[in-house]
Amino acid sequence: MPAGRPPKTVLTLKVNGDSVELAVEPRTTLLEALRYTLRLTGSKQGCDKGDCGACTVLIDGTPTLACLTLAVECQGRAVTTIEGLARGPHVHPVQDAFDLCGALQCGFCQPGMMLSAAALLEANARPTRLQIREALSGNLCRCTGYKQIFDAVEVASGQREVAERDPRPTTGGES
Amino acid sequence: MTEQGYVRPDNLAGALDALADAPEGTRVLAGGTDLMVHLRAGKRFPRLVNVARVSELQALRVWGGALEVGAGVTVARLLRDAEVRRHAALLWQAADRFASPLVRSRATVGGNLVNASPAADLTLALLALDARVELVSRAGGVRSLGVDELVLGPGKTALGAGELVRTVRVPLAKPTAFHHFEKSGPRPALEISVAAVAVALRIEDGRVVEPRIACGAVAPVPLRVVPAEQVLAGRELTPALIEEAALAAAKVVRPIDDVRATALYRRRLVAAFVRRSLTAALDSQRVSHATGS
Repeated sequence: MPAGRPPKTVLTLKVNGDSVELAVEPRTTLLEALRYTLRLTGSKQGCDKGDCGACTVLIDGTPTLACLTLAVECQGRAVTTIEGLARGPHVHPVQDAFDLCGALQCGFCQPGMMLSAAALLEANARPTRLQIREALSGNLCRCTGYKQIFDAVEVASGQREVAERDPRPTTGGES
Repeated sequence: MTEQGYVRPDNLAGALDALADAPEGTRVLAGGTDLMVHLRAGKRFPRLVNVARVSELQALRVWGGALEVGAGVTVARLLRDAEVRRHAALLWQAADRFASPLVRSRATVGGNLVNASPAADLTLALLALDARVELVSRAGGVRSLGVDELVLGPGKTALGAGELVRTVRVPLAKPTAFHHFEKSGPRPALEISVAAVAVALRIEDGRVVEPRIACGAVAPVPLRVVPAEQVLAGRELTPALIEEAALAAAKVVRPIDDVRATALYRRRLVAAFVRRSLTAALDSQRVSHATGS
């Protein structure tokens, strides 16, 4: 290690249910630790300054901007990334609904969108359209797919029917 | 950053110790919604003092005739708190218009003050509410400043070496109080104010008492528009008086042209927002007359 390199701190995180130990520099963000140390690249590095929401993860269930959070602040806390949203072989209802509604184009905002949506439904099982818009207002979609995204959250909460179900592969398993 | 470059004290005494012997350029890290952005942009600070675990900064209670808000209280917490809504509706309204839920869950009251942005929404509300900011340091003990004494310019405050914002004390709203917050941006969420107006006044015996009007993003600091307040003080609220106050406010602000809006547009927004706020006050008065309360 070259002289003057900041010493690393060892911390323990509970990531997607698993306890993991990692060494980080004090200035490392949670996003960098997730993507570049743990190789969980589902959390996206968009603006890297808290404007776009692509890096959203859940910390103890609360949607949080991983790019503005220091990894060392997360000692002992439960972090859920998009890789951990599915429960066992079953995708989360939000993931299923995003699929059914075609609520994506490029996909870059999806992990953050889905985690914000999942946290909303955890707190409020039947949100109004306005509450959905408010809860997702920190997650930007530049493909202008908001309508389908809000529809998907309504589908996930059982408040909207999907008109047609296209044939599609099952979403279980390791795919 | 060296080993000393990042400290995370567990209590206020530890935080004040870390600040007392700190090298110049040391910064306090709370929610990080501004400071982390500077860090990401490559700016380096000799020491960061993370106050996230300092419980003394987490107070949120009615105490001694005021709403006491710890510097570490997040915007999200303000929004969830019934006492804030009841006793400092203006602060609640500003919190409601603040950035996005993702930013609100981290951004703190103390950070909004100390960051000293001309467009700071909470700071604007606190100025209109005549809040007092308590600063503490290991050497100097406690001192209390008004918001306009604390915030001196963009990014500039009266905070001395080793000093930390501990608490903000907001006088409790009287039953006759009227609070109104207006803010403009092209998108409801995540928008930095193009212009914002915070109004706090009371209407007693049909007359305006102690009006305080603060305007944001139209001067180097959140600015009280005293001439507009003087138009209103002691007078009966009428459409003509409202117009006079709106024009007085637009005249005294000092907006600039920048990437978000022209100065002229900002000046017009100030007039419109003051007009809208005071019209809402007039309407609320009519409602309370109609219901006999």
